[in-house]
Amino acid sequence: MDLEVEKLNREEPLLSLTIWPHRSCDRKTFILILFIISFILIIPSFLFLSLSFAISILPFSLLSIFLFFFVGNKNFNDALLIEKLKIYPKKIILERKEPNNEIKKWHSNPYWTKVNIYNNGPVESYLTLKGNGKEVELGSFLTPEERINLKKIIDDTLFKLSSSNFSRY
Amino acid sequence: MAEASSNITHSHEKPNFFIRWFMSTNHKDIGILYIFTAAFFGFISVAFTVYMRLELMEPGVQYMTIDDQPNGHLWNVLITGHGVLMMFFVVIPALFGGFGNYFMPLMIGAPDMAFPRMNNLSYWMYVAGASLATLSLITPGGNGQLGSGVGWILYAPLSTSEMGMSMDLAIFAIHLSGASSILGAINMITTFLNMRAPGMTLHKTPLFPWSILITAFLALFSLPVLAGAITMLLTDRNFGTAFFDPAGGGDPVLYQHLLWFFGHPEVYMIIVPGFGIVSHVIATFSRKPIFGYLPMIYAMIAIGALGFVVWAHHMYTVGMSVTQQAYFMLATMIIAVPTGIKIFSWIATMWGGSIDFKTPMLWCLGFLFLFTVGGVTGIVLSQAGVDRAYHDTYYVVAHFHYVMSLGAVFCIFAGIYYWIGKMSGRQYPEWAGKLHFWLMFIGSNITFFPQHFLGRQGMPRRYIDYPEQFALWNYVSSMGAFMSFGSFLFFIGIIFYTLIWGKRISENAYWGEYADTLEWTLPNPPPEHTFETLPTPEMWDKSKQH
Repeated sequence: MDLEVEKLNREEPLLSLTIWPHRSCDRKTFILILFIISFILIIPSFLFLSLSFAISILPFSLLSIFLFFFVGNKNFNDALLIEKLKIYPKKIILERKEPNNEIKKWHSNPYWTKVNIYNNGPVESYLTLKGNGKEVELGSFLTPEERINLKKIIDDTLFKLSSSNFSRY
Repeated sequence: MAEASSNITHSHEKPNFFIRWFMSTNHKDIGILYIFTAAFFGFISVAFTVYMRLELMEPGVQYMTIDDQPNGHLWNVLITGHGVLMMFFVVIPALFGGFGNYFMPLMIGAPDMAFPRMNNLSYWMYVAGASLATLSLITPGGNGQLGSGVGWILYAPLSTSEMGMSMDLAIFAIHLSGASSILGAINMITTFLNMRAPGMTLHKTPLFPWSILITAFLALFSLPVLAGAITMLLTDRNFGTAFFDPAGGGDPVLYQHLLWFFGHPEVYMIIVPGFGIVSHVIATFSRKPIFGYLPMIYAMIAIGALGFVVWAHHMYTVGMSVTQQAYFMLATMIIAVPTGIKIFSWIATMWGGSIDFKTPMLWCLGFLFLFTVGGVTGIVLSQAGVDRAYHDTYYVVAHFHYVMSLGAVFCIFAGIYYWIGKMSGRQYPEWAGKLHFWLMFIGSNITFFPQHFLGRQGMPRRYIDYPEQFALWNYVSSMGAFMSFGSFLFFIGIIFYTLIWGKRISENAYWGEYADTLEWTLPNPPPEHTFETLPTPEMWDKSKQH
């Protein structure tokens, strides 16, 4: 099975999408803010105070910096959820990288794959792919409009495939 | 693979009362908890002032006596308790913890805070700190009595030599409050930075979330210094160090520098979230978008930044050089510039607007007047030469109560009347809100305006008694205090009436089209889980419609 996936990866997919949850701040900005906070918290201690006083204040400053780094980093890592969808003539592959780096895969034959959207799902316009004996969710972290657009894109690609009889064995 | 939800019909289980209110990780519930807890400790703190004003109503000591002698220690304990509770456990928790928790995530379209469990931890550390602070008033302290009477600033050497464990409890209380605030600040900053709705750039984010972000940074930068300073107090008291003891090579003035390096930003931590609330209320009831949105943001940033470089204007009399005093004078006066930008922008927002004088708007107008009066007397006090005469007089008491007691507290009331319908689904009776405002506005002015006269006459602060020549204005001031307290009791009645019998409101944006931030797109009260699906720009970017 892995060998087959490997082979497919070398072909050009008809559709290749990478989707991830929205984040309003990128990691570079976060690091810049962390640097500014560290500078402001540490430098004055040494500029204005004698060493003995600086030592009394520094542990609290360092603790605050560490906490900010730790929780900010965790917040970024918790959002490192990536879904990659590739549609080849004979296979759909969906890869999902979880925040803990675990990678989950699902694949199906495009001809038999159904794209569903539910209005009574866990989120509005809940999007799923059904095939190969399983129904998996896709883009549950997107906005409803984005999921509707995504369904249209996948449907169009699958329609093109089926009409050109590419995917028939 | 994330399999599709087997139960397509989605439902959240409703938590029971204990889980909801004691183990909550929901930002809206934690916000409500902060507001009610702050109100509880606020009531205790205000009750102290009523007792103090009762004592000051006439010359001589009538009520606070022990063995028929004036009990100065009790007086000092009440002064300290009022200050500690108000500064650390009432105003900031209500504005930053309460409204910040409830409305900041809603306004930026976030489903919750970035770290809901840390949010819960912050709240309970705050409760523990406030409880310790209250306990410190009734545990053995100085002069063989209960409580410590050193003032909320805990100046050394008073605080290092005060007997009993009351002082230690107070220090621990402030430690806990600081830890709670730092955790809360980090949570707020992360939420603001990472979880804004798609398209909501920094320059499109509403002013209240901005005010919370700036307050969070102020807390993050200033609280470690306070933590260090009071840890040194603790070691001086209990472990034989001499950081602040001249006999051991220490310096008590250094404590004042460290305390005020925290203390002045603390003043802005109190008022900046209020600026955010006032901006929304004035825009809503003037039926105009806020005037000068970007200058408003950068004025808040400037006020926050300048707040860190003016601390020694609280201590002109400790023997600083003339050059140092000149610097702190100028730096302090510069703060009037960004503050002026804000005041004039609020006035410009109202200018030409179709103003609706509903209760929240009245509180904001009251705030504008009182904060301006307090700001102007602040400019007077910023001058080192003039401050020589006014230092430690009732002029200073009047000044900071106009800025904080009236300025910040009026913002809290504006926020409560503005959002209580959103939070509870029930609306207060308009006549009652207006009556509360007028009682409080008149009462608080009668309380504090005469204190300017007392200060100018030379009446020193923090004394249980005073000579006959100060009697008239003290009597007037006490009458005002009783009136204000009466209005507070009336307010408590309004809140309970509203929550139990208030008129239900079904319209989401019940204040009209200019209440246009994201919380107004939600039902009253909002459901337990909000914005699980991210909001789209059309929901919050109304600039083209107005």
